[in-house]
Amino acid sequence: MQYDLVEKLKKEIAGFRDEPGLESVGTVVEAGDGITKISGLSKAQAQELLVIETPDGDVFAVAFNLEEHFIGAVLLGEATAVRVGARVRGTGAVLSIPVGKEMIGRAVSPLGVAVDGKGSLFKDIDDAETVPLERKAPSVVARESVNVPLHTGIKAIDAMIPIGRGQRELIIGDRQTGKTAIALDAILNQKNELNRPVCIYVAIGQKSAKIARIIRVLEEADALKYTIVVSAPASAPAALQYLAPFAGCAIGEYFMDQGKDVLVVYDDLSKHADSYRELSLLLRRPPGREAYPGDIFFLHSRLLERAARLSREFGGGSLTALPIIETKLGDISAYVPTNVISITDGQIYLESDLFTKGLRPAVNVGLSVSRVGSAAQTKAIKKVAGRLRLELAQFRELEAFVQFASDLDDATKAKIHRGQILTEVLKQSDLQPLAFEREAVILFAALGGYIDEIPRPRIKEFEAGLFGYIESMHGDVFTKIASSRMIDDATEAELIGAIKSFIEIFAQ
Amino acid sequence: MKYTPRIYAKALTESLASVSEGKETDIIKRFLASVHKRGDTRSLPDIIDAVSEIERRRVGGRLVEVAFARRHKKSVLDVFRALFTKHDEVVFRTEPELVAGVRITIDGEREFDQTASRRIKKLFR
Ligand SMILES: Nc1ncnc2c1ncn2[C@@H]1O[C@H](COP(=O)(O)OP(=O)(O)OP(=O)(O)O)[C@@H](O)[C@H]1O
Ligand SMILES: [Mg+2]
Repeated sequence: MQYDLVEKLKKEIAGFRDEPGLESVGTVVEAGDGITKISGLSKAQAQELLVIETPDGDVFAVAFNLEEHFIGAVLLGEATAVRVGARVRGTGAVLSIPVGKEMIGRAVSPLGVAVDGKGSLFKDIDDAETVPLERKAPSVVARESVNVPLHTGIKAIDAMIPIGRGQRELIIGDRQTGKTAIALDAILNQKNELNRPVCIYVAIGQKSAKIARIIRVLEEADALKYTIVVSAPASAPAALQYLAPFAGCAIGEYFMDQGKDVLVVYDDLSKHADSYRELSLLLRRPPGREAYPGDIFFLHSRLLERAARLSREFGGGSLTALPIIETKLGDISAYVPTNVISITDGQIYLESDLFTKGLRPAVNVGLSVSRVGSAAQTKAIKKVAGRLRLELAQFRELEAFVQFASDLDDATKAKIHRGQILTEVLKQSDLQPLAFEREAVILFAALGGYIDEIPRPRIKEFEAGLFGYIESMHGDVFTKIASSRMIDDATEAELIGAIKSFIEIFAQ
Repeated sequence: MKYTPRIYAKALTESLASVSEGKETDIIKRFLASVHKRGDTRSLPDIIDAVSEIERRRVGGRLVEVAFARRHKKSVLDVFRALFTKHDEVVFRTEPELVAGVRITIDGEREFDQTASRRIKKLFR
């Protein structure tokens, strides 16, 4: 062992060339709060990776502001080690990270370093491909319209706000309304998919304990084996939090370029905007509305523009983005929420009122839309759920009206009853995503009026029982719907028969 | 808006350039009073640095920093000084962490590094 090391070192010394020459350098003239001002290095490019030499080793920084006499740079490492007078060298390279399939199943920092204590990511770092964190979004020519569904496994979403692969769908709501739960369920549900996307969960500015919990949930559900977690916890420097979504996106693009489908969750872009605001204020960029810098819109649009469905000539891969935004007291007209709403292809709007009433997931169907996903909705679900949105809307209207009316005609009563049943069916706990064929079956039963007689408190029990019954007695119903993605007449007849006979069993 | 040392220096050199012979002392006096009035007396060393930089640039000189790991005799330093023109400002430093050798930095921008510390670092990179 020691002999090996000595030999290796001797070889290195023998092959060591040190060509004398002039090199570009700079000097730290100001340091503090995670940023630094550097003189010299007048040829540095924006976003160039810089190396600051300190007594404790090299610290990396990114050139952010290129001014006439100085460079404003943000530190990516231990800020306390950087002192005035330290030497700075340019690397000539813009910020990039090593990527590879070895990352799947791991938690990494925005600089591509493993943070899960399971050892280094790559056997030999030189074998890993490196990609820049910032890249131009695919052009119009390279894109194709969204045509493959991304099933979240959440009934209310897959039925009424369907998401397509390559789409950008915003999840927005106040704190503690189940935003993360929806994104997490969408990842867990990919286990049920034949053509399973690579999932990337980017945690920005969250407590480390929360991130650890999410990793544990993924692991326990056996979903970590196709997921990458990019972690920039609240304790990380603002610069790393700022870079995290770009890192997640760059990793996603690596897989998309290989023709794979990718799902990226940015949890959340409100904290991302805050970290960018912090850096910008420290670098004395002029503040704008709500003290955010003027280019905050551009920041998020250039990130989300990188979501795409590539055409076949470009490999046919896709990158679906699920950004999350936290609102304050339901105010979606604040600066960052309106920005991101206008950039994305729709939003899933969660409401704390619904959440506290126990209507979970707390999706406000009226305010939620998916502007491109319906083109990609699976036929089986489209067929059964086409009327769902309308029936629910009518139910809401009537429900409000009933509070004043004393006697109702039978038709109205029936509508209200159906609405109550549907509301019950759409309730779904977190961490329990359903394969789409199951969603189709239960929605079919509910909208077809087959379960109107089931007492409401027993609906969940009925649902679980029905799935078990069909699985054991009519197993081909699920497999047929799953493989054909539709419900043909023969399957429908078999399904109706199965539902009817299970209702009889259930009633006993 | 606060004045930076660079702005002070620029204002001073431009005023001095436009003033008639013999009036320089008055200008400098008034300049110092104005710096004092704005409470920027503490920045005077930086202002002086900036003035000498502007002057150096004007005559085509450079700021040359020569750093050794240990102190050297004047005759050694003279050898280095002779490498540069009379417009260049050559300053010498002693930095023990360089271990051995010499490092020359021009205008804080370009560097010629032949120190042992850099070689060791490169070897182990
Ligand atoms: N559909 C659901 N059914 C039951 N409980 C749920 C559901 N969705 C979320 N929860 C629970 O509600 C709590 C908050 O959920 P979650 O962390 O997803 O919310 P969040 O909006 O991401 O919160 P934060 O603002 O803290 O990020 C969690 O304990 C979660 O288990
Ligand atoms: Mg959350």
